[in-house]
Amino acid sequence: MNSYCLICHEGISAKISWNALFSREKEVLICESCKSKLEEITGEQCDICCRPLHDAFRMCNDCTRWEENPEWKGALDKNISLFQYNNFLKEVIARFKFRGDYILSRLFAENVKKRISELDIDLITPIPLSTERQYERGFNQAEAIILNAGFDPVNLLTRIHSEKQSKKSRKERIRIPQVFQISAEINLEGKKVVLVDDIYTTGSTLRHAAKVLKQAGSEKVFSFTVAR
Amino acid sequence: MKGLYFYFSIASLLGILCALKSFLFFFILAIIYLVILFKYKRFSRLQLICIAFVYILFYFSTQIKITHYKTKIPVDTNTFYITFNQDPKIDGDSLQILVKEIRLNEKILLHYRIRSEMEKQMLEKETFYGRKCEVIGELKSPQIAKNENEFNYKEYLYQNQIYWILESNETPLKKCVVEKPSLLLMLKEIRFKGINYLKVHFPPDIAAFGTALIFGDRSLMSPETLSSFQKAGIVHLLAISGLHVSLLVEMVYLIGIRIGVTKENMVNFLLSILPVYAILAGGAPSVIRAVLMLFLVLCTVKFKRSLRLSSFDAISLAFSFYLFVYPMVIYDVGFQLSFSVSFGIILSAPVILKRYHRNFSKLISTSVVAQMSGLPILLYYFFSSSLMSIISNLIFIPFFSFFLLPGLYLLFFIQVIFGNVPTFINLFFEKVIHFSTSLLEYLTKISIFTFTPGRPNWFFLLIYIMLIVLIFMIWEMQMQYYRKFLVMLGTFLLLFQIVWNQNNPIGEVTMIDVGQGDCILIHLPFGKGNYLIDTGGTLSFNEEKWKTRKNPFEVGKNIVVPYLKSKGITKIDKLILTHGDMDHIGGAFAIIKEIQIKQILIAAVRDPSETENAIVSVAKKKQIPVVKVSAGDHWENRNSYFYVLSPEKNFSGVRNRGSITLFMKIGGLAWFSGGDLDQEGEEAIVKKYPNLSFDILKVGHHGSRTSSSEEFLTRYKPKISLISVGKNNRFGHPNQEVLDKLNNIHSVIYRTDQQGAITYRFFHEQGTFLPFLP
Repeated sequence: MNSYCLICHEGISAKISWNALFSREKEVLICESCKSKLEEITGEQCDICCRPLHDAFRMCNDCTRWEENPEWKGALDKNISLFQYNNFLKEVIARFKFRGDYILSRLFAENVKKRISELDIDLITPIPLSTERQYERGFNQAEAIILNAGFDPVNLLTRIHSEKQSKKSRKERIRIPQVFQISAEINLEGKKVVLVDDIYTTGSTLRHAAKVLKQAGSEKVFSFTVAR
Repeated sequence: MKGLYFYFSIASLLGILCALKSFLFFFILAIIYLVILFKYKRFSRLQLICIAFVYILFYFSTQIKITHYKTKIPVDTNTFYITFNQDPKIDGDSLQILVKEIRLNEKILLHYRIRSEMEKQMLEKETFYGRKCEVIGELKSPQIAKNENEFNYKEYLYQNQIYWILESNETPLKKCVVEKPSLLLMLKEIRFKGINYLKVHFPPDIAAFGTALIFGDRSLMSPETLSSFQKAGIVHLLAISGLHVSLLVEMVYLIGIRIGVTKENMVNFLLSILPVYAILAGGAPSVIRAVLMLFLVLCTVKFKRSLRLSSFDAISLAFSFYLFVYPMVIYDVGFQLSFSVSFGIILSAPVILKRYHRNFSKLISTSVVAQMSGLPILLYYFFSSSLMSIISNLIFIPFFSFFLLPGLYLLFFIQVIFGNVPTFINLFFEKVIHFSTSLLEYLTKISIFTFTPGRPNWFFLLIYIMLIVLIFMIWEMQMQYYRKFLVMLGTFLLLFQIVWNQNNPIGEVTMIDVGQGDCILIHLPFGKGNYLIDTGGTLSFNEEKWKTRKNPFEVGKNIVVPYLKSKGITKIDKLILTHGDMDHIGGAFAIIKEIQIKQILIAAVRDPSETENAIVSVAKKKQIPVVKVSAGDHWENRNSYFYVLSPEKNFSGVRNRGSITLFMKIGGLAWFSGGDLDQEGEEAIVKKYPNLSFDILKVGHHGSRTSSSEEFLTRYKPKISLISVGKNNRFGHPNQEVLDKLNNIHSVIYRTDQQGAITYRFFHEQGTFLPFLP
């Protein structure tokens, strides 16, 4: 009991309520104020990428464009994201992956576990880092998220190309040639796979990976990210 | 440790109960508590050790304290050197005051019967504080409870470390020297003077409310007003509650800031004034609780800002501190209510109460939370609870908080500063108070809202507590489909004990100890009916006006009605008044007033007594049918049977001989009960019903020689004889001759003067006699 917020390091005061008093104590990782800054994605959203939509459109513009392109049509079946990628979360994720605050991956563990368990899938695989990047960071953030949620990641993919995604524009990202290849000798025929990453920005990375998996015979490819 | 003090307060409570109640039970409970904290609440090892330490600390400190809780004064002492510890209570011709025996440093309750009106007037003006006096008198043991669920005065005094009542033979101020009182006593004296100041300078109504709200003294309040506040469930407003203290402190704080005092100085000022205020306000547990909480919060504001004590932490700490200094206060009703209601409100504030935004719904929800949090305690001590209180709270809390309390303070200070309050202002206040009390009386008349399930036993208490916690938890969750649940649980909460009462398979025949008098309650199983044979009664003498007490003891009101309510009995099917004597039917007035009566049976005699006539006319007003019964009348009820043996119709002999005499079959036994039936009457019954046979005899006329004829006893040879008689009564009942006669026929005797109430408890026509005192 009684701990400090993983994000802001302030002491967390115990919650005062009848339910808090008479029920099992849950591990509290972040304080109420930090929690309130995380915006959970709820309500109307894009059928594919989980982007919050304001009108009752079924699909967002981006996804429509992806789906209109015969090369990418149906590569990714469905993406699930937990939180909106606002400035606060941007800072948290930057701290997590770029500055190596590994423990922050525990913040999302409970949610990740719950949402992934709801999916009907066979394999969970992280988006891989290039060896160089992995060496630089010391861990793969996607793998960390999977591990903390209590799942077993299966590394199905490796990277061919090693340029950083975050330094590229949307157009560049879409146009780049395939960056992933199947690494494991697992028969993916008819398998349902979920790809895990930290952020869904344009969906390009995930679609590239999904495409490779689909080509290898996967029946369905979902993706799961913490931020969108 | 922020937010965790509550868990420490539970540990301190367990430690105290371990010392005061049952060691083993609460020790095991404490172990279970620690395990729960470890397994379910993720307490660290260090935290657990701290909690265990608190538990052990409280256990030992209480254990050490209670070894000192016994009298050191020898019984036969008759000269005492005392100082006065409290305001005198002068009521009628009685003076009562808490004193301290100086040599042995022990509290005693001094009682003195005032001799004359002049002496009374003199004593009313006297200051008792700061005097050391020699008093001659004798020590008496306080009264114990003699009926189930009755208030136990001796225990109550013991809980306050008072073991004796000193009956003083002479005015306690006869031989005194003046000495400088301690700071504490000086403050008490200021309070006493303040009360008298109000009494002298204001009209009675304003003085009564003023002393209650400013000094926490309700003695000027009329018993009628008090009882209507009680019935409406808002008597807490007449005590200085936590609400008052926080309002007051807020007012003072704002005024201080307004006139330019810095916040820091204001905090210092409040910190120094709060303890003084606690004493001036009478030091009731609710005041101490509120003052302690504020004090702790202000302390953290002053010394350790980073701590930011929440109200939940503050009340938990206040609870532990209070109990550490004074563990016996755990028995105090005011303490229990104040803390449980405040805990309830504080726990509900962050989620439940936050949901209600409008003033109206906020007040109602707070009132419901308060009512539910206090319910088990209210039922345990007062046997009933008024649902009306939710409505009356709604009206009276704002009235008291925002009008009466600041208003009365204002009047008080105007009077103190200018020496006079304009008459029209006083008149205005009097009118408002008068209006509010009449409104309250009107509200209390709507009694359908009173809920009287009786005193819950420990098992029911547990059910109540669990249900209440469950209701709070579900209420908090706020999901649409839980509403249904809430309504269901709420209904169950209010009904389960009443439904149990209605279906209880255990029946009881109880000879209630009403002192010198008769009162037998027949409570049939499965809610089949309640019959009351006689009511007891207190003889009242026409005394001079100065001698009469404000709220004199009356057995019907003070013993029988509370007994019935404690059993959850709100309806009497037949009230049987055997004959016209005061000690048999005097309590009927109070019972008719408080309990629903279906029917009254009186003896069909030619000349009913004045008291009987008065009861009949009261019954008429309340539309209660009065039936005159005579020999041959009878009724049945399931397995019970009742037959009137005497008197004959229009009987015109002496009153005792005309008592309704009943032959009854209840709980597998045959009973004979004949009020004050005399020897001649008994012999007439022997002649008329020679083949009658019964097991239990209610001995006639409290064991007087005029009843229990030899012929009657030897003919029927009852196995058990019940004598309802007052201790040390001036008639010398029961007569030794009668006792000898009963012994000769080997009848087992139960006496209320020695054994308290005598209960025959039966199940399926089998039962046992259980005297209240072994």
